Amino acid sequence: MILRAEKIAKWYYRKSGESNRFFTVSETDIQLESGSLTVLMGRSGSGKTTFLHMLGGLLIPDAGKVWVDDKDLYAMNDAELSRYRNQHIGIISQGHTAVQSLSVLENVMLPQVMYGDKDGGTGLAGEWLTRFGMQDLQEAFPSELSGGELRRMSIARALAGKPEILLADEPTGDLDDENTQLVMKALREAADEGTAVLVVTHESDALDYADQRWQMNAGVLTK
Amino acid sequence: MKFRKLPFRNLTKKPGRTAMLTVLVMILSFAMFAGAATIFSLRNGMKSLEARLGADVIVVPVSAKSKVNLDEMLLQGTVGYFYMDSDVLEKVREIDGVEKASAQTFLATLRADCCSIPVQVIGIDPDTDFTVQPWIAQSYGKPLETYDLIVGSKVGTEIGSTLRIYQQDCQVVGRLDSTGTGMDTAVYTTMDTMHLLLEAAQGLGHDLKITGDPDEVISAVYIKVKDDSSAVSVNNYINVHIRKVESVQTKNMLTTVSDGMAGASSAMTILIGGIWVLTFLLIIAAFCMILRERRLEFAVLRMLGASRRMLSGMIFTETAAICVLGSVLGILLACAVVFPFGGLIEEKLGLPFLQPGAGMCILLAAGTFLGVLLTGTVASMWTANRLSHVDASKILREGN
Repeated sequence: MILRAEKIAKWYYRKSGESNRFFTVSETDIQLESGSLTVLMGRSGSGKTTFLHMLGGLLIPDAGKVWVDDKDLYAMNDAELSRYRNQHIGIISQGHTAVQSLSVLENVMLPQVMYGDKDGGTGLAGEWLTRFGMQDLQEAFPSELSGGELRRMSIARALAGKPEILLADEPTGDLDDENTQLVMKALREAADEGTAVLVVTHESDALDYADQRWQMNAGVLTK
Repeated sequence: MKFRKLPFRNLTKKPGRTAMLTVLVMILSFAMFAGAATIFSLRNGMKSLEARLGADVIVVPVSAKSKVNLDEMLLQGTVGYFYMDSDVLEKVREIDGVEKASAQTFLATLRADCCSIPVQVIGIDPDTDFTVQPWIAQSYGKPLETYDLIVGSKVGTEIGSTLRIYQQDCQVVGRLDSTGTGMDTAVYTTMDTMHLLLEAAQGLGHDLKITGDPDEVISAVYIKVKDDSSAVSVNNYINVHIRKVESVQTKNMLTTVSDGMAGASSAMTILIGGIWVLTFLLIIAAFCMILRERRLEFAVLRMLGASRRMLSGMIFTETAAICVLGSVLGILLACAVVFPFGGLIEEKLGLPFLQPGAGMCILLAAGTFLGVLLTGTVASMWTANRLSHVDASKILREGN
């Protein structure tokens, strides 16, 4: 599976300044391929997250198109795009993204039970939690977890669904060195197994795992 | 784990929020059901009163007005008594336009050793009576013997038991169905028994203000006017031509009751409407408060692949669950308040109050349930729309 962004851009309008239009992400092309791990580096506020959200179907670009193989992501209606995102794209977002009313295990299983309402994924969800050292926290609720545990839970959730495209936004932001290595290895493995992985980070350690490296400065993407 | 269970998990994991919304819905449901049941009971009471009164004109002694409030006594069963000569009945029967006329004699028992309970005893002539006898015939198919009594639905004695009235043992042989009127608190017997009871009361030294033979007195004459005649004419004729009596048109009495009922119904309707608007606004306000609290949760669900429709469905399911719980609790609470205290409501409102039957109660409950469900759904629509259209990207970027 290939995810391809074609001249996508995002801008906002300002009331003052030299130009009314302010580009968060300037016109950009990128291609993420199965089996490769791409690292996108950049300072805070450089437009990395906006770019990742446009690739993940969460934010409609003001210009350009996002293709997954021959599918134009934003040509789909909301129901189609949501289902497509659920079944093909895994997103690890910044911050804490747990559903508070569900246990840790249920949070990890959530994307897999969202459509079809069938019990499933318990095994893989449990496996990932065990791998991230959270086997004893499966029945715990998010309010009982530390920031690092919440982060690992959301990574396990994205990986347990075996997505074809995995977009990770600062996945190791809350983690110590040991867990950072654990997570980066897991993302590398996912890529090796055929997932197209994009890691957006400002930590240079991630570069050790990368097949492709990109830099974003003030919304401009460069190799 | 199943996704469709998520709304219920959201409710149980936030008991405070759920309880607050449930209580709001319960108040709405209580107001709607209790109000509607009260209005229906008043209307039923009015219909029952019209049906059971049967008479177009009632003739009582002039002195009656100074002794008791006639409206209350005749319509609401206030205990009282007054007497006039029985020849009034014959005079009335001779008037043109009178189709039927039947006498009744009243006696009030006392809260004393001589009597089991204080009630209004009404003597009727089973052969000519057209106001009570048809209802007695429905409850008790046989002729009444001497000292036999038929009791109203609210008189606290069992069929087969003995009621002691002025030291005379009377047998309770039947009970009338509930009417929501004064008939429910009265006791009925034949004229013969009534005369025996009058003699017994006098024998015990009670001054009933009867001049002459107790066998020759009556308290009221109930008149049914012919279809082609005017009750007004008959009423006026009696007031002009028969001495020492006062003729009253029941239509006027019913108008008083009807006006009271209309006033009570209007007040109740305004109250229900006010509570509905207030609760509706409170539910909307509660959902608005929830909106901010749940933005991140909905953004996360969007990120994981939930469609707008699924998120709206989740809000509606949560709302429906709260409405089902709240409306059932509200209806049960209303049943616990309105039905056992129907008598008290009747007394406080001073209006005939006949509770609707089981079928109508089920219909009212179903109507309340649907009304509450609709209100809750409409109130949550804006929130559902806002939450399902959250800018997931923006919220995830900002982290709230």
